[in-house]
Amino acid sequence: MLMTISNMLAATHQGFLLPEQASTIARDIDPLTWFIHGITILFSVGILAVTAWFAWKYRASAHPIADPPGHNNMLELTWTLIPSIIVFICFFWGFRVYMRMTTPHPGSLPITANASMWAWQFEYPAAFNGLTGRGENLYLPLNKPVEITLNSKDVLHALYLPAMRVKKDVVPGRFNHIQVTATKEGEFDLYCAEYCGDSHSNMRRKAIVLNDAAFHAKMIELTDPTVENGKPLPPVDVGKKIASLNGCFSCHSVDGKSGTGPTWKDMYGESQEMADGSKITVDDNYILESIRNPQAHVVKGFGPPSAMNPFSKGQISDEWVHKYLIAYMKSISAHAPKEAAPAATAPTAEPAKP
Amino acid sequence: MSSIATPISKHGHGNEPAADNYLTHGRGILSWALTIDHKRIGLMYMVFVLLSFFIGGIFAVLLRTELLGPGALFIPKDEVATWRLYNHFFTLHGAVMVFMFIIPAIPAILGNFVLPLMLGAKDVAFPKLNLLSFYIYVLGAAFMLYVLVGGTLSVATGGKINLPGGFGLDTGWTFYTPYSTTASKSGVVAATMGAFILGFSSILTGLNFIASIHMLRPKGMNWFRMPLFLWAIYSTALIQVLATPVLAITLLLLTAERTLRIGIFDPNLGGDPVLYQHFFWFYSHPAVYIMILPGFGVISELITTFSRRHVFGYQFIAISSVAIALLGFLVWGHHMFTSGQSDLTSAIFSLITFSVAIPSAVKVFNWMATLKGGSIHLNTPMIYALCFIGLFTIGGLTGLPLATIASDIPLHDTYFVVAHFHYVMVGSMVFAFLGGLYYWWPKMFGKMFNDNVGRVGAIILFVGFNVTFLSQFIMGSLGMPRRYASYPPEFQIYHVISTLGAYTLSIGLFIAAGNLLHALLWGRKAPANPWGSNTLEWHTTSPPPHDNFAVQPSVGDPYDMHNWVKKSDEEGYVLDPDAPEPTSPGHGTSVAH
Repeated sequence: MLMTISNMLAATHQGFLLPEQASTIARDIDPLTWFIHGITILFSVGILAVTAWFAWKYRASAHPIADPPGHNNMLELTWTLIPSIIVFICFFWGFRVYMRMTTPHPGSLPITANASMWAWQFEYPAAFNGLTGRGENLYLPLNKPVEITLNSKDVLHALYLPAMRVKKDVVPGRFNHIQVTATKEGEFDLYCAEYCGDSHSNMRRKAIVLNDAAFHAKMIELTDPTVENGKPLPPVDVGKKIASLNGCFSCHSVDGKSGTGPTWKDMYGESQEMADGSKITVDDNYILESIRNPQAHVVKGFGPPSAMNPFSKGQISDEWVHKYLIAYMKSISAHAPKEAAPAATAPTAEPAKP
Repeated sequence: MSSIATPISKHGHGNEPAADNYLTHGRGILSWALTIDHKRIGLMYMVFVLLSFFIGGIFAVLLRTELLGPGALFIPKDEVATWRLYNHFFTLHGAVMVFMFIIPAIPAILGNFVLPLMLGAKDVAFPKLNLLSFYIYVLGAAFMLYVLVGGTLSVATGGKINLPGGFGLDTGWTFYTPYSTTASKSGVVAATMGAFILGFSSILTGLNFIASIHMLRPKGMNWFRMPLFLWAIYSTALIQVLATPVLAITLLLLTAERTLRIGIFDPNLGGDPVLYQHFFWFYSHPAVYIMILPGFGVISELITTFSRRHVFGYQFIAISSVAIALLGFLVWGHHMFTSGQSDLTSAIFSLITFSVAIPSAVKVFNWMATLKGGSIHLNTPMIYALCFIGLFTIGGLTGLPLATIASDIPLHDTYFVVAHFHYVMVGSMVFAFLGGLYYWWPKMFGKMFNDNVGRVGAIILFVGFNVTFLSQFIMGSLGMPRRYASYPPEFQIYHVISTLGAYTLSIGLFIAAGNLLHALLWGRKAPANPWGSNTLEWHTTSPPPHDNFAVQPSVGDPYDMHNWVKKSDEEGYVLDPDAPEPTSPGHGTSVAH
């Protein structure tokens, strides 16, 4: 029991009442927050203490006859005006800081955040390798202004970085923006803050702040999933990485547990019953079809309303599907033919649409 | 005057044998089911609303228990199933508590029982409409119950039995689109229909109270001689009548989109999800004042009665209720500072939101000034009232960092917000409700409760409440998002403390419930006026006769209590016309300031 409590205590945050400061705007917001918390504590303690003191001092046994009715317009005016002044300071201060936090900086690095149930996918500009880098964690350059454009594929989400003090709803059908300049290297929590269904509380990732050189290297790595730390990866690992970058694992498990989508474990080569009652053996073409047009043949027990979003060739190329993703899925399936020679040609035709 | 009522003495000392009162007037289930007596309707509401409170409370305890651990506690083998279950728990906790408990609690129970009595009237203006509102409430509650039973059956049978369209509810009580119209598999349509129907009950009750206050005030009771409870109920009724129809329309549009695919809020159909939030909060923010304003009214009555002193700044308290009701209509956008609404819109909503803080502060200061110089009796209702002052102060002040745009951004949708509104909804409204229930219990049933048990219950509730929600302020400030079934381990210590607080809080509530039930069955007989209050409901017997007053009471200043002199515990306070007035130049029995 004591062990448990001490473990819990050891796990708590380092910051006192506020998380650590890791952005320029955090430095602007925190004094304001402390000012208001200070007023709250001062007045709460004051009012509680005075109320308790009155209840004691004027208790019936000590003060059997109540004073005559009173009223005092000066008093009424005072306790109307003082709170008015305080709240006006709060408003004005808050408005000033808010304008600062929403004003875009010229030359900000544009990053796109794509949210879907229940995964994040961050896209970095095509300045590296001429390709778009993608990842499920958010990488931020140290001390460089960044503009994150928020884009939802399904329902409302919200991107929340407590250490950066920024949060914005991710609204389908509209682009919202977050301006942020990270000031501290390290890993920070990244949350979805707007309720979005079953695995909402699992839409937690990391915001990782890197210095210039490390950020640049990371960008190169993100744009080319076949390489890690400068070394080529085996195809199975590349496949796993592509799946992870595209958020596949938020619905598909690889340990046999049923998630929002069917598990990938032992799926390749296995005959699956579809929602319409037909049976399909999971092969290369079925996998490709399920990526491009997920609703064409849905495994029984899954599907709408938790529908999978399609992935275009620009997101996961046919080559990647064939060379890496399928290799990975085979590697975790007992039904996959062993030592299957890589197909000489990638599937050339899209599977026939039903 | 009805000939059925037993004649009682002019001043209603409460010592006369109560041969016939509203509880004994007519027997059998039909005499209750078809009654148009506001007192009986109030009690019928009480049964259903308290039952809802109990159900909502069960969900609160369940969700707090799940949060004892950062992972999946209930079904460790299946995380997603646990999270899904948790999402249903917090949604049903919110929906049941908001629509079926908090909104009707004070107006429908205490308002129905007390309002006509305070007016010296026989009943509300439209007694049959009043009964209709009750049955509309029951119908709306039946829809909600369908969703609840459907969800429970589905979970209990492992998904084998699913009522059509009735699988629980997992959208949050706010029904935010497009999740509610596209992705949720739960009983959204049944639940929104339930809320839609419950809204009509609220509208009709509000209409009835407005009409009653305009039409039924007795001779001599002008607006500024009304008890402050009536000012609060009147302000509340204004909101009920003006804001609730917007919720009704919004929920209909939501249902139309979900069932008929008419694009209003779903961007895939050409709609706008932020529009839904505007519509929803246009009702639901004023609804916050539907919940809290009647509580202010109760507290004004309790503070002045148990201080034995005329309320300080009557007109300021009265007008501040109306000011809160009207300003409350103009602040809904503060729920949407992170939604992407324009910066100018956010700034305007922030400014207006602050303006609501002022009348709220004025009330607190006037209550404290009433206490100063009073002769304070710490009976159970007064303990609740004093706790209310402290908790409402914290609840109100923690609204400041949420109204300030910049500091709201990191706090929005975290446990800080959860703690803030629970301080207002539970710390304030529920404390006021329980204080009021204790205060009027002797009038309702003619039975006194045990004051010591009542005080202990109130203090346990106060301690448990603060433990539950102070820890939530801290974790919210540290960034813990709300509506999270699982969470990073660094928050666990706060969750454990909060859950232990919730268990303590529950014990406090059970003590209150047990004490009131004990009084109902075995309490000693209550006098007509056990507290020495001068509002008109204390001028009749406890419990009152079927048509309220055997003799029309004379109207005076509701807070001039000097004529009421305590005889004994058994006889309570009785009118003594020769009692000395409090001495003060320029102030007599009149309410004039």
